[in-house]
Amino acid sequence: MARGSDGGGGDGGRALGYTDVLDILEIVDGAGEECEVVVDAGDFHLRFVKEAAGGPTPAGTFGVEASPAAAPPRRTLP
Amino acid sequence: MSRGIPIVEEALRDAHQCLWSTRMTNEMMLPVVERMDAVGYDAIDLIGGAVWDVAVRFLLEDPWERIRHARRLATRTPLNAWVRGQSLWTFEVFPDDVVELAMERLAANGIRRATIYDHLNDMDGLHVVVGKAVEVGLEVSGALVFTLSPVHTDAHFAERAARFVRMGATEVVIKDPSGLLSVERIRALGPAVKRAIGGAALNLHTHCMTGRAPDVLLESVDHEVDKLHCAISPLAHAASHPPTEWIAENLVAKGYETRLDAGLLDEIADYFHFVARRWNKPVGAPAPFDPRVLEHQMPGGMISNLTSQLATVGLEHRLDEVLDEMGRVRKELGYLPIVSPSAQFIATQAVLNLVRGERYETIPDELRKYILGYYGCPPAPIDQNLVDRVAGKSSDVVTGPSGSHVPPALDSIREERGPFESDDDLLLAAMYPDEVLRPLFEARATADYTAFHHAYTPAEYLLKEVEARPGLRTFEISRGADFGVVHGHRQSERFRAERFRKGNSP
Repeated sequence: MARGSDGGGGDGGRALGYTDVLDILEIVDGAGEECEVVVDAGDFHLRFVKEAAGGPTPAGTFGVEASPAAAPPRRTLP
Repeated sequence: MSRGIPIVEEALRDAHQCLWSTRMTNEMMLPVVERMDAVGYDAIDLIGGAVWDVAVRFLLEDPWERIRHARRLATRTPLNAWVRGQSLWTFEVFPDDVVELAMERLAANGIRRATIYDHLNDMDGLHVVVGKAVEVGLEVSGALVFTLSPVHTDAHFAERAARFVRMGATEVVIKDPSGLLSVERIRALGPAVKRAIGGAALNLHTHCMTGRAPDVLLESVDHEVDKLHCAISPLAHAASHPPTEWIAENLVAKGYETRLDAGLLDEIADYFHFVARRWNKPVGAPAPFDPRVLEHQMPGGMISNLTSQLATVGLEHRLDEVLDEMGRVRKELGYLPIVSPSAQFIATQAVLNLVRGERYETIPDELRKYILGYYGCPPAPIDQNLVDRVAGKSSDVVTGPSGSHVPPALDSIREERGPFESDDDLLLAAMYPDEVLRPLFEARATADYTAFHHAYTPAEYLLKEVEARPGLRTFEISRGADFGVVHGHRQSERFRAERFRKGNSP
């Protein structure tokens, strides 16, 4: 078997995968309003800010109920 | 130089039939076809009986359209269609004119390989379909249904394999739908069949339900098997096939070569994990060795169907009795292979025998036709008492190819139900009544499967989903020192993407 240059992150890092995206979206959907969330997924760094006047805040977040002034919670995907 | 072992990928056909009740849609499969085409597979399996029928009846997706779209995306790798002899993709026996037109349209729509079999391994019933497939330029792979019985010896399979090659097949497949093969049996069966087919390629297509299939596949290449049928890991195991990546790695460890791009396999596996999560489908898990399967020989999907059907009539506690009765019925019917539709014949009759109290008091029409010879020649003679019970007189019993008992149908279908937009629609009409086709054609009129041609990247999918979430005020994404994955993607005021140097946090 050969490993192609486009396959698993050709520059040596870990590419963003399809399942990473689902994990990221779960984190984003689970974050409370007016929160800033930072996610490290392999080589990728993502930052989201949710509006205050949005829909209801989902429960069960991963500790992102911090105030906007606090340092953003950071999650690193495996 | 190491011997190469080509791999046929089952993700788009048999694997989701086994694990997802055949419910993989065009939306799920088309975005990944281009990548599958680049992996280096020997063939991509796409069409088969259950896939065809579920697409028409339940998914409302025209299988001819699926073939055409997949062919546009898979320009290098042959697409494969399994063909159940004169029954094509249903349980009905079709006349020769329908079967011949179906082979023409398979080739015209983009199928390059036809894997053809008869559920009884009755070779006399395959001359028309194999002959036409060869004539229209399809690569023909002749499949033999493996089963355990006193008559299904290595010589039984070898003799039929040789007949496939004489008909024009360039490949032969040992099709083991219940994973019955053992390492010991393939050591004998592989060389026996290979001797009979000479230079034709010998394929092995087996399932994981007994837990033996991975070992059997790896052993088989040491015993004259040339090509293996596998499924990408999220769609492997259980009632499905051994995982492509695992088999490929172990072939290399054994000193064989594969032409597969391992990086692309990882991407494809990740994609199907994503599909499974997004559409709430199960991911296959390894099955432990289950010796009971060797007794009843039922494919995984069938045993679960039978259990649920027994439950609907309050007989789930009699499953073991049903399975024992199935063994008796199968022997009396001439040791049919346990595969569609014969598996359904056996299971239905076994349940009726138990429920009615008197064996064969009730015999379904389809089984009557089988007993009278309308499905072709059984592997062993049918119990004469049973034949006498069904046949009013000896002249009721017919012999010869199954298609020879059915008059040509295309002209009358055109006259009674036409005109049709195409021969593809004519064939659908030959297989299904108008009430089945009406919703299919209505759905087809508004469907746009070209939308699924785009092989979107994970980052593109993420951006699309983020754009659909109005509650997000800011979204930033960066990748180390390089921003190539989302470079060029449309950026809105709401969602800005910025370049960050590797190591900087956004």
